[in-house]
Amino acid sequence: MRFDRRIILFALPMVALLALPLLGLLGGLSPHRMSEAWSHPLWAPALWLSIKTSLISLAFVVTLGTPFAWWLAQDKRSAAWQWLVDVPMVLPPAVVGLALLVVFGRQGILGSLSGLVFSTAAVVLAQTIVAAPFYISAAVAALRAVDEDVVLVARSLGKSSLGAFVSVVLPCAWPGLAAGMGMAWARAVGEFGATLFVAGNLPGVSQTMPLAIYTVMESDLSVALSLSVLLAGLALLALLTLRWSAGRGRRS
Amino acid sequence: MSWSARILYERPEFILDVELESEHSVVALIGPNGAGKTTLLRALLGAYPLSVGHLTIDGSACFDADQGLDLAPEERRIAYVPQGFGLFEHLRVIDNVAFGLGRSSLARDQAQNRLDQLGIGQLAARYPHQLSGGQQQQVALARALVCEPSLLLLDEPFSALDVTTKRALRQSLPADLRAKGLSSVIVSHDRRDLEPFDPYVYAIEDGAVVQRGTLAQLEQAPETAFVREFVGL
Repeated sequence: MRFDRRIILFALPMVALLALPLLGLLGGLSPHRMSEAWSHPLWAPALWLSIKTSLISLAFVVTLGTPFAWWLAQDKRSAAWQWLVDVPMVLPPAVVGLALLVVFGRQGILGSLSGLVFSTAAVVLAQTIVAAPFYISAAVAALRAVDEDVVLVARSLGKSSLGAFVSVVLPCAWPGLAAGMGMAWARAVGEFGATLFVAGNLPGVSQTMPLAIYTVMESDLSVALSLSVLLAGLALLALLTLRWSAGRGRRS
Repeated sequence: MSWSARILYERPEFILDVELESEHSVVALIGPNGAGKTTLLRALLGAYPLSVGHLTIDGSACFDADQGLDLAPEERRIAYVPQGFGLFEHLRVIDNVAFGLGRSSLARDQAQNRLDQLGIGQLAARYPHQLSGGQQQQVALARALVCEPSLLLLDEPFSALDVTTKRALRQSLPADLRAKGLSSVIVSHDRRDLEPFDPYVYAIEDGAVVQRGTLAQLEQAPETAFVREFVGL
């Protein structure tokens, strides 16, 4: 169908808004500042912690989230639990963090695990809870889109319910699952509020990149900016890798 | 080979209640859209938990609600070629055909042999989306038959094909099935697709059988407006 080019005029303001953070990052970029940031003591432990915790969180999100998504995708009665997926999306992350702090506090319902608070494990917990909805929502949509008949064919050819899920459903849903993983991972890397409340801001323990940027910003804005560019580059790289992988899955 | 079934599938908005018997080796299901034909095929495969009914193939029961017997789809030895063929898009042709045979290299050899017999051995390394409609149908049939099922279910096997391919397969498919002595159930909305199979026809409307008989019998005394239109009167 022909489309009315005037719509572009109305779309441009949104394009500009979305491009604004990237422009800000690129504008603040200079080799001198980058080398300054390079020698800053905070960035290496924070980057390593961010990579480590976000990947562990992603592993939890995928292994625990996929069965839940498969249930939500298949069983109409599971709709009663759908709202739980949306809870971490609509709650402010700081509220999630505070709630976790209460749950794992000495007086909390899981008070016996109070050692968890202000630890690296708490970082992973916060990231997992906040990032999981992004993966689960994408996974439910992708799993629902798998043709029921293709699954039945796999069953008729001798696969058990689980066998058909692994050999047919997962590969068919892969592009959607990969997109969901990308979103969830990006959310985990960017996690700030919930982490700060339940895990604190301890270098080497719970100070991930966003927290390090926040800490450095108070003393040196330009170093914070360089760290931000590093983090943004990492996130974009991961996004592109997943897009590429998903695109390959779709083609084959 | 003989088989018989009673399927009662109840949903709030739809009830399917049908008894089938293999009077001929090919049973055809006809009926308007939404009559329940595809649902019936899926129910025969064991896709739904049913509380009433039975399915017996060659004297052995796959499903008998009275006796609490309900074999899973993978235990029924029923092959299925859905509308659009249901090929596994992420697998090469050879792995599609070998799917039901396991992962051994023997399975792949057997699949390759089957493709060679069909004259499409050169397609083994391709992916389904790289095939024509006719080739996809051949691969889907090869995949279904390689496990030597006792019953074959075909949902609109010709609807996705162009006219030339359709004409060729209308001749070859009935001959193949006859040569194998395999019982089958075919859903179709086109009388010309069914004629070469000489089927016993069940006309289904709103989840119930409204008329049964050979095509000639249906033609002589069509009992509903749909059947009359189907036989071309």
